Amino acid sequence: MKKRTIIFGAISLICVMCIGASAFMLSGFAQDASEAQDKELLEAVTAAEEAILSVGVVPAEYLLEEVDLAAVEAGEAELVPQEVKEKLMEAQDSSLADAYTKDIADPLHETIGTVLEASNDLIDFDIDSGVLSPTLISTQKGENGQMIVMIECVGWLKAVQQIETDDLYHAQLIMAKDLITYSLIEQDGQWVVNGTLDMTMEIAPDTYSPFKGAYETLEEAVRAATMLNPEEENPF
Amino acid sequence: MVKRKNSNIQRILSAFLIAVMFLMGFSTNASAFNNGSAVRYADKYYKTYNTAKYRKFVRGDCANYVSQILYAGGMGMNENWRYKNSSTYTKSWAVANDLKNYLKYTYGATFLGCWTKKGTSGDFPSYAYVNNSSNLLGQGNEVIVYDWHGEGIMDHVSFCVRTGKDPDSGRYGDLVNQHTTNRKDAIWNLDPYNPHRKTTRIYAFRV
Repeated sequence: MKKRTIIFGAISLICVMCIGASAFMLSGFAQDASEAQDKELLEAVTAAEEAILSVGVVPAEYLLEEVDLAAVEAGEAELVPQEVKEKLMEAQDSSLADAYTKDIADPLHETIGTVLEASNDLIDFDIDSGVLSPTLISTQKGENGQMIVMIECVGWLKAVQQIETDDLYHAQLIMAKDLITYSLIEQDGQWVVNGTLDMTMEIAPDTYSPFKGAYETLEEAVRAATMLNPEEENPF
Repeated sequence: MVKRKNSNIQRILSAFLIAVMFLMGFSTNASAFNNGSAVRYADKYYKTYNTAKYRKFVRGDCANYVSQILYAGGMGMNENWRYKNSSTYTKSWAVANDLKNYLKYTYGATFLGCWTKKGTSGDFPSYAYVNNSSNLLGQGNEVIVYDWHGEGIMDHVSFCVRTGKDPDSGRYGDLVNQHTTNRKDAIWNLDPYNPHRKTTRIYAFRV
């Protein structure tokens, strides 16, 4: 009787240990899966933010290597000729298509074209953009397999602009902290943004000046803007 | 007898006139708005918060601030737009998109125009190099709303206080005060401060 009790007790103990170990492993797997999904979601919304900030950007490398900026300044050449405009539009359309659903990405196509076209008329264009410190604030399941994701990040934009009051070319680094709630759906195994539900943009405080120097020539201003370091300048 | 009849008619006419004047007083929003009071309030509380009367919204105080200015200018609270205490207020008081909808559809504010940085076809003309919108007067009764991603949901709201020079960007034009990042006399289109300026759509209303 005593022996039977000991054996029964031992078996029970082993069972409890097995169940505990399984539960521990399962919760570990679930946590890993959740962390992996959070990582994918953060990457997806960061890519969406980067793609939308890059709309209409004319890359500095192209400007410095392939454009006669003195001729542009004199009004004798276009900053973005038609063939370059088409290439830039294709690249930016592709980034948007990877990050957003078609109904959001498609209307931005026209915006890219308009911005690039206007760069030929106004010395007022962007040469680079990006995102700093993307942080996942929250995720929750929405309807029909949607995920609602809130992130915080700092968006930045390098620009060159001619200001009519002084006739100089200004290098700019514009920075703002964004708190954005996106909704995402899974499309071909990838998370893509299908809506911006809420967006609070905190522009930089007045102690931060986005104007980083005024130059007499366009080329000097483009080179100066290229050298600006968003991480070092970040006021947030 | 005839005298009494005339006096009754006079009374009825007087009551009718008083009723008409009373109703006109409520329906003519523009005549009731005091631009000077609104601007004085906007300038007094652009940096600090009127916490004696209103709560501060940590994740974006822009609509709360503009609502306070509108109230200071004489816009009356009602069941669609009001602030009672820190936990009782309408969404239209504290959320930019809802405030815009209230002003546009319920209050009957005058729509002045909409802009993007470099213009797209049709409804959104360019504001580039046009710091003074021809549609704004900078007289202290204009509300500017901003849709950063251009998707049709308003994300931010500011109040146009005057025309002059933005001390931070040096640009001349119509100037706004705003909360969230607290600013006084920022150029109305916020172009020098907005990394999302290429996708931003801006709308203006006169109250």
